[in-house]
Amino acid sequence: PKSIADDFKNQYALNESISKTSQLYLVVSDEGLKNKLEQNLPSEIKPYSQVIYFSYQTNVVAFYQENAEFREAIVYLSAFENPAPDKIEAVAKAILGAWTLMNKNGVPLMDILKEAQKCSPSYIRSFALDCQLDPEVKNILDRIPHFSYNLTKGFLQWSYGNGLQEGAFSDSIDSDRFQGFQDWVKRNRPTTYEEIEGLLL
Amino acid sequence: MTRKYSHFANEKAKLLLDILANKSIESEAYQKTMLNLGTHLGDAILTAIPNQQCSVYLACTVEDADFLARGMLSSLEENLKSVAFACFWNKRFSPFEIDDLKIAPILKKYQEPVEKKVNYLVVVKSIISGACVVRTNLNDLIQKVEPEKIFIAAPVIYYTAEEKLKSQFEKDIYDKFQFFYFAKDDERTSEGEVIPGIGGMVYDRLGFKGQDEKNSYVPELVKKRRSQLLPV
Repeated sequence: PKSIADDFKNQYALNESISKTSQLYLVVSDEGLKNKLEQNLPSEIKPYSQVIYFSYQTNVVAFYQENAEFREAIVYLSAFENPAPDKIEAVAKAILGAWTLMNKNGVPLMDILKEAQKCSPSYIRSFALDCQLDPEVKNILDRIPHFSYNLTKGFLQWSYGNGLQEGAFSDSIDSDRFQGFQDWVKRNRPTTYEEIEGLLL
Repeated sequence: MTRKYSHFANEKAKLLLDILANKSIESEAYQKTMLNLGTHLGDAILTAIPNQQCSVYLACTVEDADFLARGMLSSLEENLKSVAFACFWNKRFSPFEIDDLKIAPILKKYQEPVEKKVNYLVVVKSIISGACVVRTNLNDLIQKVEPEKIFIAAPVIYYTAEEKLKSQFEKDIYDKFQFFYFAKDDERTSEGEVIPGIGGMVYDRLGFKGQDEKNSYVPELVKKRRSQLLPV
């Protein structure tokens, strides 16, 4: 009977015959099996073959906790340095949703991310360069008592009363909605948190 | 359609549930009914809290703060030394309208400072169906607090909600769960509305014009408690 090694060898040969350089991966959901397969990887197919462990989990947050590579990827893609569980879930499911609906052939990764970012909120970081607040808006917000904020990966994250209330604006500062928020601030020049809290969503 | 009542549901609670289920009731009466149900639910929870010195942290969502949660808080505060309070603003939706991807990220929150270890964390909601919001907020809360017991309370729950919620947490967490409800329903519409439940979409019944308006709202309870902790 044919083995997986045979399949890999034949697939590689087929790829070569049509001038395609390739690497082949066998994905398994058992770490012990992954280690065993790696140790016994036939030398003939070793130059172009790898075994990858992809753990099975019933929900994305559990998967994030279990899989360090996935976690690093989500942290990088999220609008937070240390995303909370609900933000991890939002990023992962926005990407999963975009991927599910897209034509999966020859799609640039950036297109998938841009599609996922259309979800609001996705909490996917902005890739725009130079994300700064309008200086006038900065000046106004800086004067609001007990209110602090920072811009992280293109998102406004804020706190009131030293963490008594906190949140993040759902869209990045290069979005139309955030521009609308800035326009409102410049028009109305709020001096208290109460005046802006209904907009900090 | 079979509604099962819990042992907490006395005649008064059943009457209040019937008022909620009546879709002709206006929002003001609906709000008052939720407030009263909150008080009754608080009384039910108190039967499981042996000592008025116990530390209790009550968490709710923005639409329930001034009604259901306020009622519960009044019952708890009358009988306990202190109760800390948290309120969450969630946006519940399915990315790209894919049902299996339901999420309820926290847009913002109000969280009173509390010792890391609390005796009882109480999460209250007007109705628990798919439990997405309760799961999200509970997950967030347990990043900061270590409760001995977690009470999950709602006037009405869907019959699969308890198991659904337990399946989302590790054993060391779900072993702390105790559910408090008056009625358990076993029917849902294709849109996910529990029947008879609490008489439809709670935002509408409470007088909010949908989820966005609900999320722009700042509960009076939050304003009042906030002003005591942080003078304007």
